[in-house]
This record gives sequence, C-alpha cells and structure tokens, in this order.
Amino acid sequence: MAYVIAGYAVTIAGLALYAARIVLRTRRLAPMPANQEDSR
Amino acid sequence: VVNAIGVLGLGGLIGTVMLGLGTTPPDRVQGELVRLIYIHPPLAWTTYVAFAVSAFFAALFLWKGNPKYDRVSAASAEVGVVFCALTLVTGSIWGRPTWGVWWTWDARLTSTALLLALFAGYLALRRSIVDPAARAKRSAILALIAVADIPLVHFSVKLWRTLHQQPTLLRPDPQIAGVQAWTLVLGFMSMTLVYVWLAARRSRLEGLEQTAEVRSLEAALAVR
Repeated sequence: MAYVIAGYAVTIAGLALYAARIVLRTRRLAPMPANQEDSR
Repeated sequence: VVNAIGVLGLGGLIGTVMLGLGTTPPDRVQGELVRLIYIHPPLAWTTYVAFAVSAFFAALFLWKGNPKYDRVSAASAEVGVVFCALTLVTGSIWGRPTWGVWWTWDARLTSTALLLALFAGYLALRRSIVDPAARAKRSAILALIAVADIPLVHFSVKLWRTLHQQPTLLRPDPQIAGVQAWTLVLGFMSMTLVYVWLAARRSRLEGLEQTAEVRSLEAALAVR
C-alpha cells in the first residue's frame, strides 16, 4: 500500500504545485487597478 | 466557465482518490497495487490530449499566423510535460513492486520517455529564441514533429513484445467492470477537466509573459 500512497501523493503534489505556480505568476504579472499602480 | 471546469475537475479528482483508495476492492492478481490504475492511465491519456492540442494549435498558427494559437500551443505543451512526467513517475512506482525494477527499456516506457524529451526540447527551444515570430514558427514545427510519437507510444504494446500490459478499457472487451470501471472513467474525466483548467490558465499566463517581455525590451531600448 505504501507504493499506492506514494503514487497518489506524487500526482496530487505535482499537480497542486504546478497549479500554484501558474496562479502566483499570473497574479504577479496581471495588470493592477490604476489606484494600486504606485504600491506595486 | 474556466473556474467552473476547475472546480469540477478538482471535485472529480477528490472522488477518484476516495473511490480509488477506499471503495474499490483490491485485485486478485495485483492486490492493492491495482489502485494505481485509477490515476496512471488517466495521466497518460491527458498527456496525449495535451500534446495533441499543442500540435493542433501549432498547425493552426502556421496556417493562420495568429499569435493566440501559438500561446495555446505553448501552454498545452507545458501542461503536457507535467502530465507526462507524472505518468512516468506513477508508472515507475507501480513497476518497482510489480516488475522488480523502477525502470526498464520497454517499448511503452521508452517511447513515453522520448515523448517527454521531445516536448521538454520544445519548451527549451521556446526559451532559446528571442524573436517572438521565429520562436512561434520554429516551435510550431517541432510540436508537429514531436506529436508523431503519440501513436508510437499508444500502439507500442501491440507493435512489440512488451512488459507493459495491454489496454484495459479502450478495447472491444474491457477488462474491468463495476465500481472499478466507473472509478477509472471518473479518473479519465477529472484529469481531462484539470488539464483544461491548467491549459486555460497557462495560456492566459503565456499572454501576460509575452506582454511583459515586450515591455522590458522596449524599456531596455529606451535606456539606450
């Protein structure tokens, strides 16, 4: 069962990390509203 | 719509994990290891879809020249690389207790590794070319060449004598039934939805990155 858990864990962790990378990078590059431009 | 697809995909994935690890019974031959079938083939299927979509939009780009098609092609290729790597890792985790080795130069495994190398090369090519037009054109050509490996991967278990098992579901007489079959189908559907969400999000990010790239180039030129 350890191999099964490892397989599921690697898959979920891999997809979650990749999704987080996309979301965070999008937030960093997405244009902000004009009133927040200066604080960026 | 994209977020709704993401929520559906996530829900399906949670359902697959719960059914795969809990409800479904162990196999008579494989025992508990059969539970990996609910994630490994869906990951492989999604790899095919991602690279096929990448090649389709690469062809559209070469035909129409619209940069939007290049962005979708690039996004789908990158998502496909993630799915392909996970396919190889989960297969390796299954192979160690079943075959006694983490890796063997079996036709299915080798052709899948080649697929990963080809699309990793595609991503490397994109990073190595500065001119956006040349980058889009050359990477589109590479995507069309690389996608030709997919039929080789899929039919490798029929073309050669391999260790890898034959198809389970996609055959006239499916070798799986009941809750095991439905869990596998749910795995296929949810992985596909997760792919759609990731590819859509990555495609938007590709657009933002290209805009940022143009801006930084203009800023550098303005300084000179």
